[in-house]
Amino acid sequence: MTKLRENREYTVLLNPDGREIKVQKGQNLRSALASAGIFFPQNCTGKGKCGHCRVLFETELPPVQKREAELLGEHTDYRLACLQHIQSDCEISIPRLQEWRIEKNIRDFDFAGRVSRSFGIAIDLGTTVIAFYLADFSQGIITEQYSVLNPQVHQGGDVMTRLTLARKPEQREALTASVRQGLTDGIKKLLATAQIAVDSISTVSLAGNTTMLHLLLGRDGEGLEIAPFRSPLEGRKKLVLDPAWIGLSARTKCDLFPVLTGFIGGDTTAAIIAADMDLPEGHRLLIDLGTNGEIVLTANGDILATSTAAGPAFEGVGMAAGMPALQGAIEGISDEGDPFVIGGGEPVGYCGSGYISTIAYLHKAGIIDKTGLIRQDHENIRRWTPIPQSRQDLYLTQDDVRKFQLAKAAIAAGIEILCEQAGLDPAQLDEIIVTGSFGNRVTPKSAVAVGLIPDIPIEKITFMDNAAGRGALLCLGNSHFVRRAADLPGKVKVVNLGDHSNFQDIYVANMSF
Amino acid sequence: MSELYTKLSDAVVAMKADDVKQLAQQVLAEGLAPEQAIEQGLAAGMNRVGELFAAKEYFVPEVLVCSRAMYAGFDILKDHVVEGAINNKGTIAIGVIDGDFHDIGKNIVKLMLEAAGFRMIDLGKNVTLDRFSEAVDRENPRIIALSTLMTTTMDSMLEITAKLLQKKPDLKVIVGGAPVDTDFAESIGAHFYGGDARAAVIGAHQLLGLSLEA
Repeated sequence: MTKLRENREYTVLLNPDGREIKVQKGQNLRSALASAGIFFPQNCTGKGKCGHCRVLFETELPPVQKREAELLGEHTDYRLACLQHIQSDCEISIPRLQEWRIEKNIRDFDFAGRVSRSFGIAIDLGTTVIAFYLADFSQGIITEQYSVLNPQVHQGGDVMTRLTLARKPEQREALTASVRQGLTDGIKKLLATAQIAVDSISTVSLAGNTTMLHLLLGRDGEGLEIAPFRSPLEGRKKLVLDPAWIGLSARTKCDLFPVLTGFIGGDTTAAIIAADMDLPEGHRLLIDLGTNGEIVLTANGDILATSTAAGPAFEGVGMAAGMPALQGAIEGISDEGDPFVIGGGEPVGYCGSGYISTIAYLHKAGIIDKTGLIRQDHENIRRWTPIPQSRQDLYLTQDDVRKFQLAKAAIAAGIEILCEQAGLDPAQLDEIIVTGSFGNRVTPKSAVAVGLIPDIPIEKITFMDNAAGRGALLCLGNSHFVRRAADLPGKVKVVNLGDHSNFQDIYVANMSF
Repeated sequence: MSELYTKLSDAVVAMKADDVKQLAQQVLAEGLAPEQAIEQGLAAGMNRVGELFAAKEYFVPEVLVCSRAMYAGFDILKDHVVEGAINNKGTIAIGVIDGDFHDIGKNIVKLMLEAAGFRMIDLGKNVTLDRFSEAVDRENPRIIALSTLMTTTMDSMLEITAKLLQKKPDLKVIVGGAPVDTDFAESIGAHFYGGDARAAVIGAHQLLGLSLEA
């Protein structure tokens, strides 16, 4: 121990798995944990604002900082990893990461009629999570699926932070290197699990949002980070990815989905293909719920697309008890008000679908009024918890509801404006498809009840697990789908909500319930 | 203070535009001072709305409906105000900075500052340094209020603040918006961080050495 101190290195014991990591004296705990492979996704990039990197100190508590005191409230045993600099040996546990498992699994996928001896990999390169799907063409099935945190989350939680970093060449290089490494590692892991050689991968299809593609291709934002959010990649039918960048052999054919604008990227074009939005059939709406909500409408032979700034509420970020759709998240609520928890067990927080269905439930029960005001609880505070008088960290606060109102109004306003541009009464929609990584327990009824989507018969509303990943799978080794995707930039009309003269009124009108 | 002013204030808070109109007519019929009715009735009501908004009791739609009620009364009273009788607390130029189009937060802040008695110059959204600069020359504001919702435009907030202060060293700068905080405000040399519309009103008073009650 004495020797360690001389070297100014301390030991941090991580519970519950008992792992030890070595940390330089004064090193930031969040970055030390990141070096040990422990990331806090969807964070505020270490500014002490989001509270997602809270750790429980089981040894002597370091002094609390002002921001920690504000954010952690009654949780006095906790500290924020991003604000702590290690000054002694210590023992901590990381409550929100105990059961860290990311799943973006796709069920029931059918590669009709594709027969060959080789394999293909479909990749959904998300801002937070990268999902890999290994397709065995000889059997026509997905043989392996694997999801991992995008290692860029360590550099910055959201696209805007990463784009700001990317203005500096060395940071841009680091972001590019980290995403390429993440893809290389993921592919390696997939191949090892399936016990196949890298040479048997004949084709890769990758869907990523515009920012992810810029950084993957080694470009900075080139202006896509500021209004009017345009990208030089827009409209290009062919984006070239060198297979060597992601550890593949030179013969592997890599298809990237095209980009429509700075905020309507390859993830959306892939989702369009997955949902057949480019086929002129009926009046159909596709919604991808996320920090940036993308909305696509097919009506009267036109395909319209827009993106709307919903904020991260649907991803559980910035909410008092918000969390990603992982084990322990409340993903829904029963008609009696009992929470459904992902993986069963004790609830830890709420994911996006948990907020949608909880708020719908509370509105129906009269606990949230039509302006969004929560009834006071027994302590005369406007908040609600699914487990009365116990788990204080599971409160739904008034501030949460306000953030939720902004998020759902942004989506609803986008839908209203797209329908208006197409001359379509939303009640005439034949189908609404909702996708996004917000959890699975959203019922069409609750999504309609909170005013997130138009009120149409609920049997016309469907949820699609990972539409972007499905689009990428469809394009694997299938030139018909690849061509359809490549044609999208010429076919889809992009609508800029900010240009609408009445946007603010429509947005505000959609905030109430 | 006339009981009518309290009723006006209550009607603004209760979002009752028709009641506000009727009360405003009554103020004129009874020969009361319209400027007092504006300050102690309408503006006082809007001030309470600001407090409710800050406490999250009221949300954006309610604030806008209240403001419509306030303006319904203001439109009736304003033509009867003796020139100069309403205390103008100072000119504030406000805008969402270059590179950002999100302006609803800015609109609420503007509304509250206007109701509190400031003369507001609204430069809109996506406002460049040049346009802020022109507004400083033209309107000689005492305060400039900068808003952004996006982290990517924060650098330009720094530049705009620095250049405007170079031009007019006694100018006060208030910043606001989701990615901004007190530390950031200090780091770019701004004088106040307005966490919400209510805070911006308090800050504007502080920066100009005014009492909130006036």
